[in-house]
Amino acid sequence: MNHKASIEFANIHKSYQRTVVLENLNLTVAPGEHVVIIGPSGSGKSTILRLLMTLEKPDSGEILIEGESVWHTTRDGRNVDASPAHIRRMRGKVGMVFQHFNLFPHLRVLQNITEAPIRVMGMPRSQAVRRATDLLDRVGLADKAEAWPAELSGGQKQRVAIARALALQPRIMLFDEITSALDPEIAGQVLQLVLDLAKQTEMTMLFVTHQMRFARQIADRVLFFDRGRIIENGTPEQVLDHPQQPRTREFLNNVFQAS
Amino acid sequence: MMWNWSFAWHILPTILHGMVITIEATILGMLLALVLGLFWAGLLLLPNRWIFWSTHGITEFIRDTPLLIQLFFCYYVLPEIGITIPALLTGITVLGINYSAYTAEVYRAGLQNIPRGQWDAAKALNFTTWQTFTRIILPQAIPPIVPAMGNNLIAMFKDTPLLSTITVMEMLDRAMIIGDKTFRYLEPLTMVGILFLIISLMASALIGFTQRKILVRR
Repeated sequence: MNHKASIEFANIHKSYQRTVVLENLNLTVAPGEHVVIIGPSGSGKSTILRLLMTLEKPDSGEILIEGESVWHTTRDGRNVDASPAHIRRMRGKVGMVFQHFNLFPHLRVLQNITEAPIRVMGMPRSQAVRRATDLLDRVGLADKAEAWPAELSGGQKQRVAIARALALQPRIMLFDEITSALDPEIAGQVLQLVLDLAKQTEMTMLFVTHQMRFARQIADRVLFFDRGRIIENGTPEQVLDHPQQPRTREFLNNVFQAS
Repeated sequence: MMWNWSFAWHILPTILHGMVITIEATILGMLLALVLGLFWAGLLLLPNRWIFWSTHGITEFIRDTPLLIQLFFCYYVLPEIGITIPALLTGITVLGINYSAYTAEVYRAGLQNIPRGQWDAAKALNFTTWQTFTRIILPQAIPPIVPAMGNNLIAMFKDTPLLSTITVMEMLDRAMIIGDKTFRYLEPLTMVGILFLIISLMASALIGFTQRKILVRR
């Protein structure tokens, strides 16, 4: 099939202990689509990204990436748990940028970016360094290659984290509240970088964010999420300007009042 | 009783010979403790509760029984069931296993201090669990625990005289033999005490130096 969805969640359930985080979630994302997920804290938005990144495993349901199940394979016509090798292969299609950057503090900036291509993809060091240097240039930090993460500002750390995720050339990129830990001005610069990036690539992108202006600029589609369910799903104009559900209106009112 | 310098000089080589054994037992014992302790700590990290509780049980058992009894057991009881191990090797192994229960706790504290986000980021970059552990987590976990490991090293060093009870000819054993033969205990025992002090102080200094070195590099 040529027109496979990039991402598909089918009847996904996820709970922690006795708290239900995601309830019967169904979601399809087209290749190259930019989807922004908004909603109150604790609504399960980040869990969607963490499930896609395979940091968490769903309790039930299927997650498909490019038409292929992440956690299951068929053997002798039966659906069985996938091998670790299969899961790693699927994981390799996805990259993620985190709220708290999560750079490796014991590695210099350049090594933060080259380590995975060298160790995971088996790329020759010289090629990995060349690519990392290009990426650093692209995120405006060419002069910081030899710096330690501790020497960078928050905004710079997040740029490095973006470069690090891009170095593995994922087909899908996940951005989990990537500016929540940054000053508004710095946040704006990082978001601009992501906007530029989104224009230049064909990657499928999922964002969890509280930045409504950014959502409007980057999204093909906005999902409003509350208590483990998708409440509203549509274009930025539909969801942000003409929300149908009272819960969405209430949330957006609160957000716009705050900003 | 007066200090006799010529007697002290006379017995120094014998005692230094014992010191070599003492240091050898400490270094090899500590190496075993460092490796085995990391192994325990790694098992304690695994999400399997059976592995967790059995590992926990083993290390708890080791810590809650006296080292001296462990030594006696391995040296005097094991031969009765057909396992005979030379004294020094028994000593080194028991010291290593005993201290591994303590180093495991130190490793565990160090590992628990690594934020969850580091594991997440490593997984998102598709490192294997082994690569994550060896290249991302351990290099961050180890520098802060160097002082605690150093304390274990010095404590083990000071526990080596216990090996004299299973006939290992380390420093104390040799000093006692000299004393028993000559009826002069002042010089040999004083010398052994001072040598322990000197080496412990040197080890402390070395650990402090290592730690400063690591901190500077960060």
